[in-house]
Amino acid sequence: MIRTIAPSAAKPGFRAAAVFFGLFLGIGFGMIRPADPGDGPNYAVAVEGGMFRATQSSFRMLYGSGAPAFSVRLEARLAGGLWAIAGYRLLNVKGATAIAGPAFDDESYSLRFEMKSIQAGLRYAFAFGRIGLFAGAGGSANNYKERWDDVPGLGGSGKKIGWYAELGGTVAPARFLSLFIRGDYSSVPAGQGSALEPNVNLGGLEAAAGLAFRF
Amino acid sequence: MRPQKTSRFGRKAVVLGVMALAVLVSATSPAGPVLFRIARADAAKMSAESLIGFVVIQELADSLLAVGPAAFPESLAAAGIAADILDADIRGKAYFLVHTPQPKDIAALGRVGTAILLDQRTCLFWTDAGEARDILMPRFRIKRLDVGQGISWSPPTGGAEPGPDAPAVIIPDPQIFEWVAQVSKNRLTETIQSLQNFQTRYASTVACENSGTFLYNAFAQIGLACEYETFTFSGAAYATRNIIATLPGKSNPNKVVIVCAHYDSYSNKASTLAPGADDNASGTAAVLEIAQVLAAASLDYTVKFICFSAEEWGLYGSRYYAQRAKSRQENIVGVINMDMISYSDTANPILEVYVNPSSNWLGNRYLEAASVYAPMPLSKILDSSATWSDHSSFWDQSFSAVCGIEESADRNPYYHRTSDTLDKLNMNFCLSSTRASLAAAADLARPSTDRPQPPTGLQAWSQIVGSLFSSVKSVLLQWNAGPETVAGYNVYRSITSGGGYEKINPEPLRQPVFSESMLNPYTTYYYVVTVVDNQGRESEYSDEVRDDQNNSAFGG
Repeated sequence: MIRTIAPSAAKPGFRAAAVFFGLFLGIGFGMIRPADPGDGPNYAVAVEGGMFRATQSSFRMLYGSGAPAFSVRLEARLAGGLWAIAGYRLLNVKGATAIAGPAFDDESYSLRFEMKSIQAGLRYAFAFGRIGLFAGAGGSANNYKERWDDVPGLGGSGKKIGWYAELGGTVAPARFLSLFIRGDYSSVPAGQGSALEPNVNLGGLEAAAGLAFRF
Repeated sequence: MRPQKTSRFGRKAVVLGVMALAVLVSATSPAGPVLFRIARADAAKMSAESLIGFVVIQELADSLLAVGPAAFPESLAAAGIAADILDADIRGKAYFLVHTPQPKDIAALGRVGTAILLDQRTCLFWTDAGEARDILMPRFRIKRLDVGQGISWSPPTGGAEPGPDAPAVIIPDPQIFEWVAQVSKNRLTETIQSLQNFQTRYASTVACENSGTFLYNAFAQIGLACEYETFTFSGAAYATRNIIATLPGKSNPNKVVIVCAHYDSYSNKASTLAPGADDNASGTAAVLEIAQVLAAASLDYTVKFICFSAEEWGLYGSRYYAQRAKSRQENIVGVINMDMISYSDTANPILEVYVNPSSNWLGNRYLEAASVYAPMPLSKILDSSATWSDHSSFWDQSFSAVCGIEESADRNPYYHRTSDTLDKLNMNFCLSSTRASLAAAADLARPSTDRPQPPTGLQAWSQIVGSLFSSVKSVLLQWNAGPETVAGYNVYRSITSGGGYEKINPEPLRQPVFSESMLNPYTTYYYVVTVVDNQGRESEYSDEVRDDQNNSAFGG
């Protein structure tokens, strides 16, 4: 008597995105021209931590207004200020069920939500000495899983394609290191949901800070 | 004026002319109605228009026998329905179904009339002699077909099988246990002996009528209201009587449970000696015994105890009753027919319970009641071709009916013989069979003594709990507490309003409150509750509530 969204098999779109991601990185690194001595580093590895705020109020009602997110990124300069970005993001949060409509009891069950995303995009960076600003956009392949802790079989999982757009700024205290802050807006349409949220989108706003090792 | 004299030649011409005209008229007169057979699967496909002029006279396991205008089979064929013509003109003929347990029976029937095998064990038989019983060998069981009136038949709708509006699960009732224990082997034996003492109960004999009077008096002595139902058969050549005793229902007397058996008998010397101890003094004794035990009972529904006559001639008595019951719209809940319930050639005899598709629920109920109150080996058999006893007359009128019969009915070596006597019977089997039928009848008629009143004030609330991808419905029920004698409550749920309830609590609830969760949020549920008293008796259902019926109380 329980409606469960069954884990879906990898969609063709999702596989295409993974292929695209691989090609993107390969082409990106292939396009790197020999760096001029004055251009600075051509590669970077960045780690960041941030807080995610879902667009949909149902997500916030279930999992809170802010959820911690962690990312690792590889960055490669394509030309001038144009960078190719590839990253891995992990969102992991605990929550509790909510009651839709009238209630006679404060019935509640513990929830756990996790979303692993692979992101690939382009970023354009402007440098003003040690300080820089950047803006970018890209796509994401997302693998999500929601679980009811006490009720096996309930929840849902799936793989969906999304997109994001970002803005950020950097400061480079040393040639091999930069600190940055960034914010992004993402959209991950996940399709049909429950009686609580008929049409789920797992996107939202994220504010993050991190550091990048450049070489 | 002098009359003109007709010449001899002229008279001859007139005679010849009249003869020619008669031949011409007979040659051009319309053909009579035909008797034909179609597959049941095809009958289900027939449109309402195509049923006009189509009179079903018998439903068998795989086919229907019907009569219609001569051109009817052709019009069916045009509609893609194969009709097997059995007789091209039914006028002036009497048709019988003959139960034919052995292949050689067909040849035997063919020697005395026209016989067509309809299915494995059923043969259509007719002859110019009128009554088949006059010419057939004693071993055959027969049923007269009513080609004039037909049976109550309509194409299957595929709906749910009907059943009485009783709780789906039998809750053991101590009273029924008591009644079952009161069934007396001695009384059963005495009744069979008494019926056997009439020498013969062959309908059409004075002895048969005397045995009917004996039964009437026996019912009257018990204290039941009795009546004779007189009817004629064999073209009104004979008159005989059904014996009907009635135990009025207390709370719902319009609903009727029938416990019946035929009391007439047959043998190879039927006019003078047909003791019919097994067939069917045993079933008749069971009817009388059940009446004896239940006579003082307080039941919701009316119980009629009926002993039919002229069954051996072709089910005439039960057909007469069932047709009249149909026309007066008698509300028959179920019929329990017993025919040969005491002979056994095995150590552990089995009572077979025959049902047709629309009586399947009654067979299930019979087996369930027997398993609770009077366990014995039972075997339910779904067979619309089981037309050889009085239950078939009720099937013909769309009433639910079952027939209890010994497994070895076809093997009883004394069947329809002068040697079918009490000393051949297994009275322990007779006792068990009677107890099982009593349990089923009492369960069906529903003991009403001190039955608790159903709960009042049932209210329901529902809420939906969800995450992003799953949600479940939870329901809370509350009702007014019953009196101190209440031992508990049962909760029943359905996904359709007005019926189909299933009990959802394994044990009676102590408090008048119930909640459940993990229900489908997109389904509407309907609930009723019952009270169980400290005697284990269960009330009727309460009024029904929808799962969100009272949600408006908190703004829903």
